[in-house]
Amino acid sequence: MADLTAVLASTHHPFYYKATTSPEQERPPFADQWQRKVEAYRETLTAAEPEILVMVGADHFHQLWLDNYPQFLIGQAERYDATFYNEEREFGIPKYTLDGDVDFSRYMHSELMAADFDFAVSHELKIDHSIICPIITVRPEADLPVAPIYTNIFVPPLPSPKRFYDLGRAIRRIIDAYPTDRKVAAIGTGHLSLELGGPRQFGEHGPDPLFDADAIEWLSTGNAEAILANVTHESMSGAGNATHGFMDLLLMMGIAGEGVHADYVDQLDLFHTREMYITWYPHKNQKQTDAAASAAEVSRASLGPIYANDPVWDPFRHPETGAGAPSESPVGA
Amino acid sequence: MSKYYVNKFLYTIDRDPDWVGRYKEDPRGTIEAWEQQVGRWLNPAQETTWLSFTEEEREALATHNYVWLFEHGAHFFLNLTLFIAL
Repeated sequence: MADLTAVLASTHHPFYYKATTSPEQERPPFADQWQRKVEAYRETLTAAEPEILVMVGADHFHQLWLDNYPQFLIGQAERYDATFYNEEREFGIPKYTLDGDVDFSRYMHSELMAADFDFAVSHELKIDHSIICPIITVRPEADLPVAPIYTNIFVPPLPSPKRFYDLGRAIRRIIDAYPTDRKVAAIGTGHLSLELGGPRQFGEHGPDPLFDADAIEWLSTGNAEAILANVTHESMSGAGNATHGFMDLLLMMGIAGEGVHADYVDQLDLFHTREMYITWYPHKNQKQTDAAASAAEVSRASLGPIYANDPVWDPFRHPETGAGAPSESPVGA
Repeated sequence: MSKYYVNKFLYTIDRDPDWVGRYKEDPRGTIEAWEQQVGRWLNPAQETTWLSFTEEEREALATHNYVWLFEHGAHFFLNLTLFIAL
């Protein structure tokens, strides 16, 4: 049976590549800290020694379109080209070609259908930045075969948060049952509170820091009950018009398991968004323990959950006592 | 009213550097060319019998009025990326 060695859930930020590869005089002031945190996070995947990557993301109207938009889709191709013209233009993201694993994708598709998840399939899928951003951040060698899964976080009516969570649980069972001796990692990206193209986009922080506080606690403690009781399509809209990408993070938490505490949790208050980097090790070994600890020393990440009552969120709860100051990462439990 | 047709315009312009350039230089003329060459077509052989812009939509697109488009339901992501490009 497959060994699922790591589950990663993070935000994706398409400007990371540009911010950290620009000439020194063009680097934004936050690039150094951002790069330090991302490269530390990368070590948590490296220590899991993955050989196949299950990648969860969402096409941002690059290939999939309103004339025929699937709720869930899996790629089943030998190779995947990546990065569309408008992503190169907009974000400066380079082109990639990723290997696929047709047998693994076909297996996953069949098992997902058997589990009552009626997936669409694509035999010619070009990958967009929802999957290339985490390749850039945690596996820049782009040297592992991928099984790409796309979800609908863009075209209402969306699947429910519960459906995303249940899909994560099903993916976990399916990976665990895959007859292989290769190590698998599951990597998914989405968003915390996020506003795109609307009036709250260019704030000093993300549009709803207190949603982010709850979201990070819920995800890092595996608290499905709290998420399913508190998060609806409407509440996500209230936190920012593109917050529905949170459901892909919820899906990843479903892969990790209910009540399972994360082994590495980091976050960064970046101009107009909050970034989050979580890793779970389902069968944590000493090497992974050491790698997470070593990475956390560099990034000041937490080696366990970050709770919503962490002092890092105080400026947002009590704005009269100093909101607006960029917050440092908490050193958690 | 066709919010879909507006989104189709934004989607198909944004993905093609030639159309982005034309829409930047001559928005009104580009809308007409796009309707003939792209908008009406489902695939190279199949043509719509009914999709079209309202006059308000046409005017908003012709004046690059992304605020009006956002307020009237153009998809935020398409609206954002195309108008950043312009």
